[in-house]
Amino acid sequence: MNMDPLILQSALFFLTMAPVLLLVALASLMIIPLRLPEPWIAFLVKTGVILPLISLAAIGLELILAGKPQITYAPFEMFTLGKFQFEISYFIDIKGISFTLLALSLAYTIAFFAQRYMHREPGYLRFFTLYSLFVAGMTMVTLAGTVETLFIGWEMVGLSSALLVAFFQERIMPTRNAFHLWLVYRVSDAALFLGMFFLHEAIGEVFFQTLLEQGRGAVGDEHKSATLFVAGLMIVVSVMAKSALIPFCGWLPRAMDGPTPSSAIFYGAISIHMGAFLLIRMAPLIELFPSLCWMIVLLGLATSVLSTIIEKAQCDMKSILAFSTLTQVGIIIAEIGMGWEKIAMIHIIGHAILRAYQFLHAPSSFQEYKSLQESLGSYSINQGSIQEIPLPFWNNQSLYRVGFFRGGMDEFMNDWLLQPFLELCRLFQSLEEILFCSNNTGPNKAPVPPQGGSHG
Amino acid sequence: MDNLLHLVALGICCVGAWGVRLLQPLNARSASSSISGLALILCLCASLIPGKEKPAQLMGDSWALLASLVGFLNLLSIPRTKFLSPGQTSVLTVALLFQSTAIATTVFPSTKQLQILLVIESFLPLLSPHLLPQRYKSFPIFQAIVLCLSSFNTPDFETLGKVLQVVLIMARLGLFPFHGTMATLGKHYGFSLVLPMILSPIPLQLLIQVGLPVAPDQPYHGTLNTFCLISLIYFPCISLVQTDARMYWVYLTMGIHSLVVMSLNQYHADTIATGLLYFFATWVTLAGMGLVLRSLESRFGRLDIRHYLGLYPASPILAIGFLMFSIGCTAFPGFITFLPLEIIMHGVLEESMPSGIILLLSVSIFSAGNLWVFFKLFSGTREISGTIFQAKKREIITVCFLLFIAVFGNLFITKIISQTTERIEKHHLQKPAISLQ
Repeated sequence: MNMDPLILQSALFFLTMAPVLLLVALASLMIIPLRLPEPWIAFLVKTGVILPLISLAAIGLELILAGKPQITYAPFEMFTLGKFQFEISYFIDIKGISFTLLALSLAYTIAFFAQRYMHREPGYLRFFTLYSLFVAGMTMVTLAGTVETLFIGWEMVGLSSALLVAFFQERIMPTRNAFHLWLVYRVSDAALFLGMFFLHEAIGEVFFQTLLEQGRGAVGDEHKSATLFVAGLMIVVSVMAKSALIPFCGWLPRAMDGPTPSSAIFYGAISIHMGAFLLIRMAPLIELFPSLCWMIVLLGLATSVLSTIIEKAQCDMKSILAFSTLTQVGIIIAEIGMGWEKIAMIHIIGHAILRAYQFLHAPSSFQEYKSLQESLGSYSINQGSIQEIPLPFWNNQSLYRVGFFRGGMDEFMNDWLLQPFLELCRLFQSLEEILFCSNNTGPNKAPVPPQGGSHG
Repeated sequence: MDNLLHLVALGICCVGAWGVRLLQPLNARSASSSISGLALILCLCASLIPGKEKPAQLMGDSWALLASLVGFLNLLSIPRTKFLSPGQTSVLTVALLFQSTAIATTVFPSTKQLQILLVIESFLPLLSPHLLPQRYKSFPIFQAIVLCLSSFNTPDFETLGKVLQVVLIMARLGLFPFHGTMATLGKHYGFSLVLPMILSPIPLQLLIQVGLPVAPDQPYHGTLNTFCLISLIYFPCISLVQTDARMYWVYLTMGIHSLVVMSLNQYHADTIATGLLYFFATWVTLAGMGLVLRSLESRFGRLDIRHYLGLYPASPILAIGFLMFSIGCTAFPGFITFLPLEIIMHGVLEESMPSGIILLLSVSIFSAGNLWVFFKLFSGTREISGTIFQAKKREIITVCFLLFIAVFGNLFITKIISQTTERIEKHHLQKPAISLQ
């Protein structure tokens, strides 16, 4: 059975453009001084998510019934300039459909939840604008037909994530944590950009499918093979940062400062699995290099073990959930490294749904524990704590210390990367002061009280 | 006759600049923005006239058009507080004269004329000496002497003159290590005049005219590239330790200028075209960022970013504008800057891997820094009451207008890149190369 081409085109249009149009509409509302009532905003968001969801379901049915392996869709013309090629296109296959269906279903459910959860919050519109930025970015990543499309979505997801962590902007800690997250995401974006460049260099193609197919042929050529290996390595670095693998895992508990619905969709369900999804997409490339596969397996397992230990030493609900998530993500990554992509995909789907539920449920979980305790008489919340792990050769306290200090990952990044870099910046500032006598002890005038200044 | 409309616009700006001195401050503000708007409309009409191709000047009328747009928005959103102290109408005069020099670059596009315009422009801040740093006062004279030297045609002086000229352009664009004057000006001078001075199109136009005919294997390109690379390491780092939001903006602008110069210096038609377009695109976003900062400074004084200032509740629209412009100038997807920067990075990475990685890192650091400044300005708590701090209509129009260009400019960007690349290949890179040795 074949779908009418017009219906198929409309479905493809809604699938790819509805989230973008939703984003444009909400962003315009933020600038134009027009106050839309909360139910209208929620209606817009839900429509903007349900439309692509229905469209995707229809396209999925078409693929199954017509027996097609995939559909490609390019809403814009390809831009070519010399060797440089740029095209925004979508590639809809069974992997993309599975992940996008999951993501859009959860996005719809969480939007429904957030409509009430964020009620009367001053930043209601801001929340949903950033949420729609995430949905648009996520759709681009999961259905990307070219590496450029993926990169665009990757950046959009990163920005929405950082801004949602800093959602409660009157408090300083969320802002600091959001900046920390943004720094890690910049590393991820830069690595992905380099990976993208090396892929172009080795194969000279922009389309995912042809790029990965031709990758197999390029292995014989020594130079191309080395370039492909570096591309793969850069993609792994990007995934490490995005999915909070070792040594970047410090940002995950910090990211819990955002509103609960955003924590659920980002760090419980979708965003945290996006790195794993990228690895699944890039599996044909990664499988060419066994050393890369082993590296991924080791990274995944190490992250999983460390986050299990850290999780046992956490004392707040969201941090416990964050590190539990990371344990599973580590296992998923290891599965991909072993070449079990289908198992990894099923693991992602199951884990994302369960974890999204747990995150949404977190604010009321203590009340539930209390009522459970009251009805059972004795129920200990501390079940499964670090003290209960039978360790034959290692002191439980040492293990607890590792967990308490979160494996020293934050200190490592701070002492070995951030602080030396800031020292360099300060050195440059001293040089500037010596060269140009520009004293940087502060602005000419301290910020004046709200009566206004005259420095416009 | 090709430039009739530009000449009229130029005349209107010059006469208007003299006329607004005679008006009451607030009337002068409205009059100057009207004059500037009229000049902008004339420039827009001139650029819409078909079949007018001037291969001698890259991007033709776009320089005057964009400079006029920034000039107009600068004057439109100039804050009322500017006029609380007497004698401030000179700011409007100087701002209009900045716009007229930018328009004049289209009417007088030859190298000699551009040199004269560059000197004239550097004298303009002297007309409004309020807060002008001492260090700057000798700069225009030094510039005039250098350009006189560079105009000698004897073989002994030619190379020296050209080198000095390039140094001067670097100083005006703010490339390391000649950025001291611009940094000092940015720190002490009024923001309304710092903005057109730092975002002036003349130095870049002159650099294109001086640099493009030089063969790619000459030491000129290598030396300039080295300075650009140092600037690309230095400015992102130094911007992160600034304590004043305005100084952050100044260093960001100078860093982006060095990125543009580096791409122009690759001697490939595509990187030159995209470098120019990136310059135009960041002109819009940097101007937007600068105008938002100026609006905030007019309300709260100098913005000390050692602390979280909590300005979001006071002016959410300015906050959103600042965020959009700041992510836009480091090429966030969806903005007009995205595609040009992608092409530049690909071009530079292909040419030299270390340079490309430095470029990529500096853009990443700037992008991180932009969000850091956004958080510092708009996060935290501050006791603010009253509607006086909310964005005024003029400011909202400015933000919306620039955002509109920064986003919807994407519809035309691919076409413009292709056309500009073709034009450069056809008219500029086929010339016999001139040696600087």
